[in-house]
Amino acid sequence: MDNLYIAWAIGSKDIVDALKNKNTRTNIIMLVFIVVFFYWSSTPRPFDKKIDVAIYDEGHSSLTDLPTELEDGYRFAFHEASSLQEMERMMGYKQLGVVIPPDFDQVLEAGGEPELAGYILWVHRTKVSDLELKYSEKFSELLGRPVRVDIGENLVIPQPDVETSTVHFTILFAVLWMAVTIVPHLMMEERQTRTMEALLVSPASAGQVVMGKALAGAFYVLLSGGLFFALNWAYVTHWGLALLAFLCTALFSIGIALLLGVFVSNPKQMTLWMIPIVVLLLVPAFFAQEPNLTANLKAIFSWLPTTALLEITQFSFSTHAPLSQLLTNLAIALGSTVVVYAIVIWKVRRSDR
Amino acid sequence: MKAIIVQDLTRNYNGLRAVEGISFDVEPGEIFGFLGPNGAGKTTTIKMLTGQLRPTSGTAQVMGCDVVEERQALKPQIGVVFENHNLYERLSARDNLRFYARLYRVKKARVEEVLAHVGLTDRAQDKVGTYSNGMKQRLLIARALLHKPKVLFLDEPTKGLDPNVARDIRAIATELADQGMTIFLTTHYMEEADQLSDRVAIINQGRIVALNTPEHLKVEYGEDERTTLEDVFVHLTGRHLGRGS
Repeated sequence: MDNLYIAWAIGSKDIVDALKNKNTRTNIIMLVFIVVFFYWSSTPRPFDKKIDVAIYDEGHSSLTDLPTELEDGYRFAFHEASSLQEMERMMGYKQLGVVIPPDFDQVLEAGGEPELAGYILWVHRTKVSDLELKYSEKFSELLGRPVRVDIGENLVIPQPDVETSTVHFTILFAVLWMAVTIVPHLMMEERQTRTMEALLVSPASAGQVVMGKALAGAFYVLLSGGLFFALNWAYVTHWGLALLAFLCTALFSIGIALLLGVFVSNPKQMTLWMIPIVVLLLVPAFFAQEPNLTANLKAIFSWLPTTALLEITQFSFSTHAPLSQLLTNLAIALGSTVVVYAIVIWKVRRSDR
Repeated sequence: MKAIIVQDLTRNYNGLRAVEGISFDVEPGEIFGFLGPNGAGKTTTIKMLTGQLRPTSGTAQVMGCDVVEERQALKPQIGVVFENHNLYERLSARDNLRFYARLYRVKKARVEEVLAHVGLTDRAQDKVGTYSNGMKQRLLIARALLHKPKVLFLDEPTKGLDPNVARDIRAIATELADQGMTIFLTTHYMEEADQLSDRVAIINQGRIVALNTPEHLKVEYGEDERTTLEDVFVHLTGRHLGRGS
Protein backbone atom coordinates (compact mmCIF):
# COMPACT_ATOMS: atom_id res chain seq x y z
CA MET A 1 0.00 0.00 0.00
CA ASP A 2 2.87 2.33 0.92
CA ASN A 3 4.55 1.44 -2.37
CA LEU A 4 1.44 2.36 -4.27
CA TYR A 5 0.93 5.61 -2.34
CA ILE A 6 4.44 6.87 -3.09
CA ALA A 7 4.35 5.59 -6.68
CA TRP A 8 1.05 7.40 -7.21
CA ALA A 9 2.45 10.61 -5.68
CA ILE A 10 5.31 10.44 -8.21
CA GLY A 11 3.02 9.33 -11.04
CA SER A 12 0.47 12.10 -10.50
CA LYS A 13 3.25 14.69 -10.36
CA ASP A 14 4.58 13.33 -13.65
CA ILE A 15 1.16 13.32 -15.32
CA VAL A 16 0.84 17.05 -14.62
CA ASP A 17 4.50 17.82 -15.29
CA ALA A 18 4.46 15.92 -18.60
CA LEU A 19 1.58 18.05 -19.85
CA LYS A 20 3.64 21.17 -19.19
CA ASN A 21 6.38 19.77 -21.41
CA LYS A 22 6.22 20.93 -25.03
CA ASN A 23 7.71 17.66 -26.36
CA THR A 24 5.09 15.57 -24.59
CA ARG A 25 2.29 17.77 -25.86
CA THR A 26 3.66 17.47 -29.41
CA ASN A 27 3.80 13.67 -29.09
CA ILE A 28 0.23 13.52 -27.81
CA ILE A 29 -1.07 15.71 -30.64
CA MET A 30 0.88 13.63 -33.18
CA LEU A 31 -0.55 10.43 -31.78
CA VAL A 32 -4.13 11.72 -31.81
CA PHE A 33 -3.59 12.71 -35.44
CA ILE A 34 -2.25 9.24 -36.34
CA VAL A 35 -5.07 7.35 -34.58
CA VAL A 36 -7.70 9.55 -36.23
CA PHE A 37 -5.95 9.19 -39.60
CA PHE A 38 -5.90 5.38 -39.40
CA TYR A 39 -9.58 5.41 -38.42
CA TRP A 40 -10.46 7.73 -41.27
CA SER A 41 -8.41 5.80 -43.85
CA SER A 42 -10.12 2.51 -42.98
CA THR A 43 -13.66 3.86 -43.24
CA PRO A 44 -15.59 4.36 -46.53
CA ARG A 45 -15.38 8.04 -47.27
CA PRO A 46 -18.14 10.02 -49.01
CA PHE A 47 -15.77 11.31 -51.69
CA ASP A 48 -14.24 7.87 -52.39
CA LYS A 49 -15.24 7.13 -55.98
CA LYS A 50 -13.91 3.57 -56.14
CA ILE A 51 -16.24 0.78 -55.06
CA ASP A 52 -14.34 -2.45 -54.35
CA VAL A 53 -16.70 -5.39 -54.69
CA ALA A 54 -16.03 -9.07 -53.99
CA ILE A 55 -18.33 -11.04 -56.26
CA TYR A 56 -19.58 -14.59 -56.20
CA ASP A 57 -21.21 -15.06 -59.56
CA GLU A 58 -23.05 -18.40 -59.41
CA GLY A 59 -24.35 -18.27 -62.99
CA HIS A 60 -21.37 -16.57 -64.66
CA SER A 61 -23.48 -13.57 -65.60
CA SER A 62 -22.54 -10.73 -67.90
CA LEU A 63 -22.36 -8.21 -65.05
CA THR A 64 -18.60 -8.24 -64.67
CA ASP A 65 -18.13 -7.80 -68.41
CA LEU A 66 -19.82 -4.40 -68.36
CA PRO A 67 -17.80 -1.15 -68.39
CA THR A 68 -17.17 -0.28 -64.76
CA GLU A 69 -17.01 3.52 -65.08
CA LEU A 70 -20.13 5.49 -64.15
CA GLU A 71 -21.07 8.91 -65.45
CA ASP A 72 -20.75 10.55 -62.03
CA GLY A 73 -17.12 9.44 -61.75
CA TYR A 74 -17.74 6.35 -59.61
CA ARG A 75 -15.87 3.22 -60.63
CA PHE A 76 -16.50 -0.41 -59.75
CA ALA A 77 -13.61 -2.80 -59.14
CA PHE A 78 -14.85 -6.40 -59.21
CA HIS A 79 -12.91 -9.22 -57.53
CA GLU A 80 -14.35 -12.61 -58.36
CA ALA A 81 -14.53 -15.39 -55.78
CA SER A 82 -15.15 -19.07 -56.55
CA SER A 83 -17.41 -19.64 -53.55
CA LEU A 84 -19.44 -17.78 -50.98
CA GLN A 85 -16.81 -18.66 -48.33
CA GLU A 86 -14.02 -17.22 -50.44
CA MET A 87 -16.04 -14.11 -51.05
CA GLU A 88 -16.56 -13.66 -47.30
CA ARG A 89 -12.82 -14.08 -46.71
CA MET A 90 -12.11 -11.44 -49.38
CA MET A 91 -14.43 -9.07 -47.53
CA GLY A 92 -11.57 -8.21 -45.19
CA TYR A 93 -10.40 -5.69 -47.71
CA LYS A 94 -13.54 -4.93 -49.71
CA GLN A 95 -16.35 -2.52 -49.07
CA LEU A 96 -19.02 -4.84 -50.43
CA GLY A 97 -19.64 -8.49 -51.26
CA VAL A 98 -22.28 -9.40 -53.81
CA VAL A 99 -23.82 -12.75 -54.69
CA ILE A 100 -25.22 -12.70 -58.21
CA PRO A 101 -28.11 -15.15 -58.61
CA PRO A 102 -27.82 -17.85 -61.37
CA ASP A 103 -30.81 -16.38 -63.27
CA PHE A 104 -29.46 -12.82 -63.20
CA ASP A 105 -29.08 -12.48 -67.00
CA GLN A 106 -32.49 -14.07 -67.67
CA VAL A 107 -34.24 -11.67 -65.30
CA LEU A 108 -32.49 -8.77 -67.02
CA GLU A 109 -33.51 -10.00 -70.48
CA ALA A 110 -37.08 -10.46 -69.31
CA GLY A 111 -37.10 -6.81 -68.23
CA GLY A 112 -37.39 -7.69 -64.53
CA GLU A 113 -35.73 -6.02 -61.54
CA PRO A 114 -32.91 -8.30 -60.39
CA GLU A 115 -32.06 -8.52 -56.71
CA LEU A 116 -28.46 -8.89 -55.54
CA ALA A 117 -27.57 -10.24 -52.10
CA GLY A 118 -25.13 -7.72 -50.62
CA TYR A 119 -22.66 -8.44 -47.83
CA ILE A 120 -20.79 -5.89 -45.73
CA LEU A 121 -18.33 -6.11 -42.87
CA TRP A 122 -20.20 -6.07 -39.58
CA VAL A 123 -18.19 -2.97 -38.70
CA HIS A 124 -20.64 -1.03 -40.83
CA ARG A 125 -23.72 -2.64 -39.24
CA THR A 126 -25.22 0.69 -38.21
CA LYS A 127 -25.18 1.94 -41.80
CA VAL A 128 -26.99 -0.98 -43.53
CA SER A 129 -29.93 0.98 -44.96
CA ASP A 130 -27.70 3.83 -46.20
CA LEU A 131 -25.34 1.38 -47.88
CA GLU A 132 -28.25 -0.60 -49.44
CA LEU A 133 -29.54 2.63 -50.93
CA LYS A 134 -26.12 3.77 -52.15
CA TYR A 135 -25.13 0.44 -53.75
CA SER A 136 -28.61 -0.11 -55.29
CA GLU A 137 -28.30 3.29 -56.91
CA LYS A 138 -24.79 2.62 -58.25
CA PHE A 139 -25.62 -0.85 -59.61
CA SER A 140 -28.76 0.62 -61.22
CA GLU A 141 -26.59 3.25 -62.92
CA LEU A 142 -24.19 0.54 -64.09
CA LEU A 143 -26.93 -1.65 -65.57
CA GLY A 144 -29.14 1.17 -66.83
CA ARG A 145 -32.22 -0.19 -65.04
CA PRO A 146 -33.41 -0.60 -61.46
CA VAL A 147 -31.46 -3.15 -59.40
CA ARG A 148 -31.88 -3.80 -55.70
CA VAL A 149 -28.96 -4.65 -53.43
CA ASP A 150 -30.38 -6.32 -50.34
CA ILE A 151 -27.93 -6.48 -47.42
CA GLY A 152 -30.36 -7.27 -44.60
CA GLU A 153 -28.59 -9.44 -42.05
CA ASN A 154 -25.65 -10.30 -44.31
CA LEU A 155 -22.97 -9.00 -41.95
CA VAL A 156 -19.58 -10.62 -42.36
CA ILE A 157 -17.38 -11.00 -39.31
CA PRO A 158 -13.80 -11.59 -40.44
CA GLN A 159 -12.14 -14.94 -39.82
CA PRO A 160 -9.24 -14.80 -37.34
CA ASP A 161 -6.67 -15.33 -40.10
CA VAL A 162 -8.07 -12.62 -42.34
CA GLU A 163 -6.62 -9.19 -41.93
CA THR A 164 -9.51 -6.72 -42.07
CA SER A 165 -7.55 -3.52 -42.31
CA THR A 166 -4.73 -1.75 -40.52
CA VAL A 167 -7.06 -0.83 -37.68
CA HIS A 168 -5.79 -3.46 -35.24
CA PHE A 169 -2.25 -2.27 -35.92
CA THR A 170 -3.22 1.24 -34.79
CA ILE A 171 -3.72 0.22 -31.17
CA LEU A 172 -0.30 -1.48 -31.01
CA PHE A 173 1.35 1.55 -32.57
CA ALA A 174 -0.55 4.05 -30.41
CA VAL A 175 0.18 2.29 -27.13
CA LEU A 176 3.84 1.54 -27.87
CA TRP A 177 4.49 5.02 -29.22
CA MET A 178 2.79 6.75 -26.31
CA ALA A 179 4.71 4.66 -23.79
CA VAL A 180 8.16 5.01 -25.34
CA THR A 181 7.89 8.73 -25.96
CA ILE A 182 6.69 9.60 -22.47
CA VAL A 183 8.11 7.18 -19.87
CA PRO A 184 11.84 7.22 -20.82
CA HIS A 185 11.66 10.98 -21.17
CA LEU A 186 10.27 11.29 -17.63
CA MET A 187 13.07 9.11 -16.24
CA MET A 188 15.80 10.75 -18.29
CA GLU A 189 14.67 14.20 -17.23
CA GLU A 190 14.84 13.25 -13.53
CA ARG A 191 18.43 12.16 -14.08
CA GLN A 192 19.43 15.13 -16.23
CA THR A 193 18.03 17.71 -13.82
CA ARG A 194 19.34 15.59 -10.94
CA THR A 195 15.93 15.63 -9.28
CA MET A 196 16.39 11.86 -9.13
CA GLU A 197 18.95 12.41 -6.34
CA ALA A 198 16.42 14.39 -4.34
CA LEU A 199 13.83 11.68 -4.93
CA LEU A 200 16.17 8.94 -3.78
CA VAL A 201 16.96 10.66 -0.47
CA SER A 202 13.22 11.14 0.09
CA PRO A 203 11.13 8.18 1.31
CA ALA A 204 10.79 7.07 -2.33
CA SER A 205 12.90 4.07 -3.33
CA ALA A 206 14.32 3.52 -6.82
CA GLY A 207 11.64 0.89 -7.39
CA GLN A 208 8.87 3.29 -6.39
CA VAL A 209 10.26 5.96 -8.71
CA VAL A 210 10.11 3.46 -11.58
CA MET A 211 6.58 2.46 -10.55
CA GLY A 212 5.60 6.12 -10.52
CA LYS A 213 6.91 6.61 -14.05
CA ALA A 214 5.08 3.46 -15.15
CA LEU A 215 1.84 4.83 -13.66
CA ALA A 216 2.27 8.14 -15.49
CA GLY A 217 2.94 6.18 -18.69
CA ALA A 218 -0.10 3.99 -17.99
CA PHE A 219 -2.28 7.10 -17.71
CA TYR A 220 -1.29 8.32 -21.17
CA VAL A 221 -1.47 4.80 -22.61
CA LEU A 222 -5.02 4.51 -21.24
CA LEU A 223 -5.90 7.79 -22.92
CA SER A 224 -4.58 6.54 -26.26
CA GLY A 225 -6.44 3.23 -25.78
CA GLY A 226 -9.60 5.15 -24.90
CA LEU A 227 -9.31 7.24 -28.05
CA PHE A 228 -8.72 4.12 -30.16
CA PHE A 229 -11.74 2.24 -28.80
CA ALA A 230 -13.96 5.34 -28.95
CA LEU A 231 -13.28 5.54 -32.69
CA ASN A 232 -13.04 1.84 -33.55
CA TRP A 233 -15.55 0.20 -31.20
CA ALA A 234 -17.50 -1.13 -34.19
CA TYR A 235 -14.69 -3.56 -35.11
CA VAL A 236 -14.74 -5.35 -31.76
CA THR A 237 -16.48 -8.71 -31.68
CA HIS A 238 -15.10 -9.93 -28.32
CA TRP A 239 -14.73 -7.10 -25.81
CA GLY A 240 -13.15 -9.33 -23.17
CA LEU A 241 -10.42 -10.35 -25.59
CA ALA A 242 -10.02 -6.79 -26.84
CA LEU A 243 -9.42 -5.53 -23.30
CA LEU A 244 -7.05 -8.42 -22.58
CA ALA A 245 -5.11 -7.59 -25.75
CA PHE A 246 -5.00 -3.92 -24.78
CA LEU A 247 -3.85 -4.74 -21.24
CA CYS A 248 -1.08 -7.04 -22.51
CA THR A 249 -0.02 -4.44 -25.10
CA ALA A 250 0.02 -1.71 -22.45
CA LEU A 251 2.06 -3.84 -20.00
CA PHE A 252 4.58 -4.81 -22.66
CA SER A 253 4.90 -1.28 -24.05
CA ILE A 254 5.37 0.30 -20.63
CA GLY A 255 7.99 -2.38 -19.90
CA ILE A 256 9.90 -1.49 -23.07
CA ALA A 257 9.59 2.20 -22.17
CA LEU A 258 10.95 1.57 -18.66
CA LEU A 259 13.79 -0.47 -20.13
CA LEU A 260 14.73 2.50 -22.32
CA GLY A 261 14.32 4.80 -19.34
CA VAL A 262 16.67 2.89 -17.05
CA PHE A 263 19.41 2.45 -19.66
CA VAL A 264 19.28 5.74 -21.56
CA SER A 265 20.73 8.83 -19.92
CA ASN A 266 20.50 11.61 -22.51
CA PRO A 267 18.27 12.68 -25.43
CA LYS A 268 20.84 11.61 -28.06
CA GLN A 269 20.96 8.07 -26.69
CA MET A 270 17.18 8.04 -26.49
CA THR A 271 16.78 8.92 -30.17
CA LEU A 272 19.52 6.46 -31.06
CA TRP A 273 17.77 3.57 -29.30
CA MET A 274 14.10 4.47 -29.45
CA ILE A 275 13.65 4.55 -33.21
CA PRO A 276 15.40 1.21 -33.96
CA ILE A 277 13.55 -0.50 -31.12
CA VAL A 278 10.16 0.79 -32.25
CA VAL A 279 10.91 -0.11 -35.88
CA LEU A 280 12.16 -3.59 -34.94
CA LEU A 281 9.06 -4.23 -32.87
CA LEU A 282 6.47 -2.75 -35.22
CA VAL A 283 7.59 -3.36 -38.79
CA PRO A 284 7.89 -7.18 -38.64
CA ALA A 285 4.57 -7.34 -36.75
CA PHE A 286 2.94 -5.26 -39.48
CA PHE A 287 4.21 -7.52 -42.25
CA ALA A 288 3.84 -10.83 -40.41
CA GLN A 289 0.55 -11.61 -42.17
CA GLU A 290 1.70 -10.50 -45.57
CA PRO A 291 0.76 -13.40 -47.92
CA ASN A 292 3.95 -13.03 -49.99
CA LEU A 293 6.23 -13.36 -46.97
CA THR A 294 8.58 -16.37 -47.02
CA ALA A 295 7.81 -19.17 -44.56
CA ASN A 296 11.10 -18.63 -42.72
CA LEU A 297 10.47 -14.95 -42.12
CA LYS A 298 6.90 -15.69 -41.13
CA ALA A 299 8.15 -18.20 -38.54
CA ILE A 300 10.70 -15.73 -37.17
CA PHE A 301 8.21 -12.85 -37.02
CA SER A 302 5.65 -15.03 -35.23
CA TRP A 303 7.97 -15.20 -32.20
CA LEU A 304 7.98 -11.45 -31.78
CA PRO A 305 5.85 -10.25 -28.85
CA THR A 306 4.38 -7.48 -30.98
CA THR A 307 3.24 -9.98 -33.63
CA ALA A 308 1.64 -12.04 -30.86
CA LEU A 309 -0.07 -8.96 -29.42
CA LEU A 310 -1.27 -7.91 -32.84
CA GLU A 311 -2.81 -11.35 -33.43
CA ILE A 312 -4.59 -11.32 -30.08
CA THR A 313 -6.05 -7.91 -30.98
CA GLN A 314 -7.05 -9.28 -34.36
CA PHE A 315 -8.82 -12.23 -32.71
CA SER A 316 -10.91 -9.76 -30.76
CA PHE A 317 -12.09 -8.36 -34.12
CA SER A 318 -12.86 -11.81 -35.56
CA THR A 319 -15.51 -14.53 -35.52
CA HIS A 320 -13.59 -16.56 -32.97
CA ALA A 321 -10.17 -16.96 -31.37
CA PRO A 322 -8.43 -20.28 -32.12
CA LEU A 323 -7.56 -21.42 -28.58
CA SER A 324 -4.13 -22.92 -29.22
CA GLN A 325 -3.04 -19.90 -31.23
CA LEU A 326 -4.43 -17.55 -28.60
CA LEU A 327 -2.59 -19.34 -25.79
CA THR A 328 0.67 -19.44 -27.76
CA ASN A 329 0.40 -15.72 -28.45
CA LEU A 330 -0.43 -14.97 -24.82
CA ALA A 331 2.56 -17.04 -23.69
CA ILE A 332 4.90 -15.17 -26.07
CA ALA A 333 3.53 -11.75 -25.08
CA LEU A 334 3.47 -12.34 -21.33
CA GLY A 335 6.79 -14.23 -21.33
CA SER A 336 8.50 -11.32 -23.11
CA THR A 337 6.86 -8.85 -20.74
CA VAL A 338 8.16 -10.76 -17.70
CA VAL A 339 11.70 -10.80 -19.17
CA VAL A 340 11.56 -7.05 -19.88
CA TYR A 341 10.38 -6.23 -16.34
CA ALA A 342 13.00 -8.58 -14.83
CA ILE A 343 15.75 -6.62 -16.63
CA VAL A 344 14.25 -3.33 -15.44
CA ILE A 345 14.11 -4.54 -11.81
CA TRP A 346 17.68 -5.88 -12.03
CA LYS A 347 18.94 -2.55 -13.36
CA VAL A 348 17.03 -0.52 -10.75
CA ARG A 349 18.38 -2.66 -7.91
CA ARG A 350 21.91 -2.02 -9.10
CA SER A 351 21.37 1.73 -9.27
CA ASP A 352 23.08 2.49 -5.90
CA ARG A 353 26.17 0.34 -6.54
CA MET B 1 23.88 9.35 20.82
CA LYS B 2 26.13 10.73 18.12
CA ALA B 3 24.37 12.25 15.11
CA ILE B 4 26.82 10.73 12.61
CA ILE B 5 29.33 7.91 13.16
CA VAL B 6 31.64 6.99 10.28
CA GLN B 7 34.09 4.12 10.62
CA ASP B 8 36.69 3.21 8.06
CA LEU B 9 34.41 4.17 5.16
CA THR B 10 35.77 3.34 1.70
CA ARG B 11 34.34 3.69 -1.76
CA ASN B 12 35.95 2.47 -4.97
CA TYR B 13 34.94 3.42 -8.50
CA ASN B 14 36.24 0.99 -11.10
CA GLY B 15 39.29 0.16 -9.00
CA LEU B 16 39.98 3.80 -8.07
CA ARG B 17 39.59 4.82 -4.43
CA ALA B 18 37.36 7.89 -4.19
CA VAL B 19 37.14 7.64 -0.41
CA GLU B 20 39.68 5.68 1.58
CA GLY B 21 39.01 4.51 5.12
CA ILE B 22 37.67 7.72 6.59
CA SER B 23 36.43 7.82 10.20
CA PHE B 24 34.81 10.61 12.18
CA ASP B 25 31.76 11.39 14.21
CA VAL B 26 29.48 14.39 14.54
CA GLU B 27 27.68 15.52 17.69
CA PRO B 28 23.99 16.44 17.67
CA GLY B 29 23.50 20.15 17.01
CA GLU B 30 27.03 20.52 15.68
CA ILE B 31 27.90 22.28 12.43
CA PHE B 32 30.49 20.01 10.89
CA GLY B 33 32.49 21.46 8.01
CA PHE B 34 33.70 18.93 5.46
CA LEU B 35 36.29 20.58 3.26
CA GLY B 36 38.39 19.42 0.39
CA PRO B 37 39.50 20.29 -3.13
CA ASN B 38 37.49 19.16 -6.15
CA GLY B 39 37.53 15.39 -6.51
CA ALA B 40 38.72 14.86 -2.94
CA GLY B 41 35.73 12.66 -2.07
CA LYS B 42 33.30 15.13 -0.46
CA THR B 43 30.33 14.37 -2.70
CA THR B 44 31.00 10.62 -2.58
CA THR B 45 31.00 10.81 1.22
CA ILE B 46 27.72 12.75 1.27
CA LYS B 47 26.19 10.27 -1.15
CA MET B 48 27.18 7.40 1.13
CA LEU B 49 25.94 9.14 4.27
CA THR B 50 22.58 9.92 2.64
CA GLY B 51 22.10 6.37 1.38
CA GLN B 52 22.47 7.19 -2.32
CA LEU B 53 25.65 5.17 -2.74
CA ARG B 54 26.71 1.90 -1.19
CA PRO B 55 30.13 1.99 0.54
CA THR B 56 32.67 -0.53 -0.71
CA SER B 57 33.62 -1.19 2.91
CA GLY B 58 33.29 0.36 6.34
CA THR B 59 30.19 1.50 8.15
CA ALA B 60 28.29 4.71 8.72
CA GLN B 61 25.35 5.53 10.94
CA VAL B 62 23.24 8.66 10.85
CA MET B 63 20.96 9.16 13.86
CA GLY B 64 21.54 5.52 14.72
CA CYS B 65 20.51 4.23 11.28
CA ASP B 66 22.96 2.19 9.26
CA VAL B 67 23.20 3.90 5.85
CA VAL B 68 23.11 0.58 3.99
CA GLU B 69 20.91 -1.68 6.08
CA GLU B 70 18.42 0.91 7.36
CA ARG B 71 18.13 3.22 4.41
CA GLN B 72 14.37 3.66 4.64
CA ALA B 73 14.56 4.48 8.37
CA LEU B 74 17.38 6.91 7.61
CA LYS B 75 15.45 8.96 5.05
CA PRO B 76 13.07 10.82 7.41
CA GLN B 77 16.03 11.71 9.65
CA ILE B 78 17.97 13.60 6.98
CA GLY B 79 17.49 16.59 4.73
CA VAL B 80 19.80 17.32 1.83
CA VAL B 81 20.47 20.64 0.12
CA PHE B 82 22.17 19.61 -3.09
CA GLU B 83 24.89 21.56 -4.82
CA ASN B 84 22.87 21.72 -8.04
CA HIS B 85 19.42 23.24 -8.17
CA ASN B 86 17.57 19.99 -8.64
CA LEU B 87 14.02 21.30 -8.68
CA TYR B 88 11.06 20.79 -11.01
CA GLU B 89 11.38 23.97 -13.02
CA ARG B 90 8.01 23.70 -14.77
CA LEU B 91 6.21 23.48 -11.44
CA SER B 92 5.69 26.30 -8.97
CA ALA B 93 7.64 26.42 -5.70
CA ARG B 94 4.48 25.48 -3.84
CA ASP B 95 3.84 22.48 -6.12
CA ASN B 96 7.45 21.36 -5.74
CA LEU B 97 7.07 21.39 -1.98
CA ARG B 98 3.60 19.85 -2.02
CA PHE B 99 4.96 16.95 -4.04
CA TYR B 100 7.69 16.28 -1.47
CA ALA B 101 5.18 16.83 1.34
CA ARG B 102 3.20 13.90 -0.08
CA LEU B 103 6.31 11.73 -0.20
CA TYR B 104 7.17 12.59 3.41
CA ARG B 105 3.49 12.50 4.42
CA VAL B 106 3.71 16.01 5.77
CA LYS B 107 0.63 18.26 6.07
CA LYS B 108 0.11 21.02 3.50
CA ALA B 109 0.29 23.64 6.25
CA ARG B 110 3.96 22.73 6.73
CA VAL B 111 4.60 23.74 3.10
CA GLU B 112 3.43 27.26 3.91
CA GLU B 113 5.55 27.29 7.07
CA VAL B 114 8.79 26.46 5.26
CA LEU B 115 7.96 28.86 2.43
CA ALA B 116 7.58 31.62 5.01
CA HIS B 117 10.75 30.48 6.78
CA VAL B 118 12.86 30.99 3.65
CA GLY B 119 10.96 34.10 2.55
CA LEU B 120 9.34 32.71 -0.59
CA THR B 121 5.64 33.02 0.24
CA ASP B 122 5.09 35.92 -2.15
CA ARG B 123 6.57 34.03 -5.11
CA ALA B 124 5.29 30.57 -4.17
CA GLN B 125 2.91 30.39 -7.15
CA ASP B 126 5.60 31.25 -9.69
CA LYS B 127 7.28 28.59 -11.78
CA VAL B 128 10.68 27.68 -10.38
CA GLY B 129 12.15 28.19 -13.84
CA THR B 130 11.62 31.93 -13.38
CA TYR B 131 13.54 32.03 -10.07
CA SER B 132 16.98 33.52 -9.47
CA ASN B 133 19.75 31.26 -8.13
CA GLY B 134 19.29 32.71 -4.66
CA MET B 135 15.57 31.93 -4.66
CA LYS B 136 16.24 28.41 -5.90
CA GLN B 137 18.71 27.91 -3.08
CA ARG B 138 16.13 29.07 -0.56
CA LEU B 139 13.63 26.67 -2.06
CA LEU B 140 16.13 23.81 -1.80
CA ILE B 141 16.53 24.60 1.88
CA ALA B 142 12.76 24.75 2.31
CA ARG B 143 12.47 21.33 0.68
CA ALA B 144 15.16 19.87 2.92
CA LEU B 145 13.44 21.25 6.03
CA LEU B 146 9.93 20.15 5.08
CA HIS B 147 9.93 17.02 7.24
CA LYS B 148 11.94 18.52 10.13
CA PRO B 149 15.04 16.36 9.71
CA LYS B 150 17.51 15.79 12.53
CA VAL B 151 20.55 16.08 10.26
CA LEU B 152 20.86 18.55 7.40
CA PHE B 153 23.44 18.02 4.66
CA LEU B 154 24.40 21.29 2.97
CA ASP B 155 26.47 20.70 -0.15
CA GLU B 156 28.08 24.00 -1.23
CA PRO B 157 25.01 25.98 -0.11
CA THR B 158 26.35 29.43 -1.03
CA LYS B 159 28.17 28.59 -4.23
CA GLY B 160 27.57 31.25 -6.89
CA LEU B 161 25.26 33.33 -4.73
CA ASP B 162 25.52 37.07 -4.22
CA PRO B 163 26.89 38.11 -0.81
CA ASN B 164 23.53 39.17 0.63
CA VAL B 165 21.81 35.89 -0.25
CA ALA B 166 24.85 33.92 0.97
CA ARG B 167 24.65 35.77 4.28
CA ASP B 168 20.95 34.91 4.58
CA ILE B 169 21.68 31.24 3.90
CA ARG B 170 24.40 31.21 6.56
CA ALA B 171 22.01 32.86 8.98
CA ILE B 172 19.44 30.13 8.34
CA ALA B 173 22.10 27.45 8.93
CA THR B 174 23.17 29.03 12.22
CA GLU B 175 19.57 29.38 13.34
CA LEU B 176 18.87 25.71 12.58
CA ALA B 177 21.95 24.58 14.48
CA ASP B 178 20.87 26.73 17.41
CA GLN B 179 17.58 24.87 17.37
CA GLY B 180 19.49 21.58 17.73
CA MET B 181 19.75 20.44 14.12
CA THR B 182 23.02 18.77 13.13
CA ILE B 183 24.53 20.31 10.01
CA PHE B 184 27.00 18.60 7.72
CA LEU B 185 28.42 21.35 5.55
CA THR B 186 30.67 21.19 2.52
CA THR B 187 31.96 24.44 1.11
CA HIS B 188 34.79 25.87 -0.93
CA TYR B 189 34.60 29.10 1.01
CA MET B 190 37.06 28.86 3.90
CA GLU B 191 35.78 32.00 5.59
CA GLU B 192 32.33 30.52 5.60
CA ALA B 193 33.58 27.24 7.03
CA ASP B 194 35.57 29.12 9.66
CA GLN B 195 32.62 31.27 10.61
CA LEU B 196 29.99 28.52 10.75
CA SER B 197 31.69 25.26 11.70
CA ASP B 198 32.16 23.96 15.20
CA ARG B 199 34.64 21.45 13.79
CA VAL B 200 36.18 20.96 10.38
CA ALA B 201 37.44 17.86 8.58
CA ILE B 202 39.75 18.35 5.60
CA ILE B 203 39.69 15.56 3.05
CA ASN B 204 42.30 15.18 0.35
CA GLN B 205 42.58 12.35 -2.18
CA GLY B 206 39.97 10.36 -0.32
CA ARG B 207 41.62 10.58 3.13
CA ILE B 208 40.90 12.86 6.05
CA VAL B 209 44.10 14.79 6.60
CA ALA B 210 42.93 16.95 9.51
CA LEU B 211 39.95 17.11 11.86
CA ASN B 212 39.49 19.64 14.65
CA THR B 213 37.96 22.99 15.46
CA PRO B 214 39.01 25.77 13.08
CA GLU B 215 40.90 27.45 15.94
CA HIS B 216 42.87 24.31 16.78
CA LEU B 217 43.71 23.71 13.12
CA LYS B 218 45.00 27.26 12.75
CA VAL B 219 47.18 26.83 15.82
CA GLU B 220 48.36 23.36 14.82
CA TYR B 221 49.25 24.17 11.21
CA GLY B 222 49.70 27.96 11.27
CA GLU B 223 52.81 30.03 11.66
CA ASP B 224 51.27 32.90 13.61
CA GLU B 225 47.96 34.35 14.83
CA ARG B 226 47.20 35.73 11.33
CA THR B 227 46.90 32.19 9.90
CA THR B 228 43.52 31.61 8.28
CA LEU B 229 41.67 28.38 7.65
CA GLU B 230 42.49 28.82 3.97
CA ASP B 231 46.20 28.81 4.83
CA VAL B 232 45.68 25.55 6.69
CA PHE B 233 43.75 24.12 3.77
CA VAL B 234 46.44 25.09 1.29
CA HIS B 235 49.12 23.72 3.59
CA LEU B 236 47.33 20.36 3.88
CA THR B 237 46.10 19.92 0.33
CA GLY B 238 48.61 21.94 -1.62
CA ARG B 239 45.80 23.71 -3.50
CA HIS B 240 44.42 27.24 -3.51
CA LEU B 241 40.75 28.07 -3.37
CA GLY B 242 38.79 31.17 -4.32
CA ARG B 243 38.09 33.44 -1.37
CA GLY B 244 34.48 33.27 -0.23
CA SER B 245 31.89 35.96 -0.15
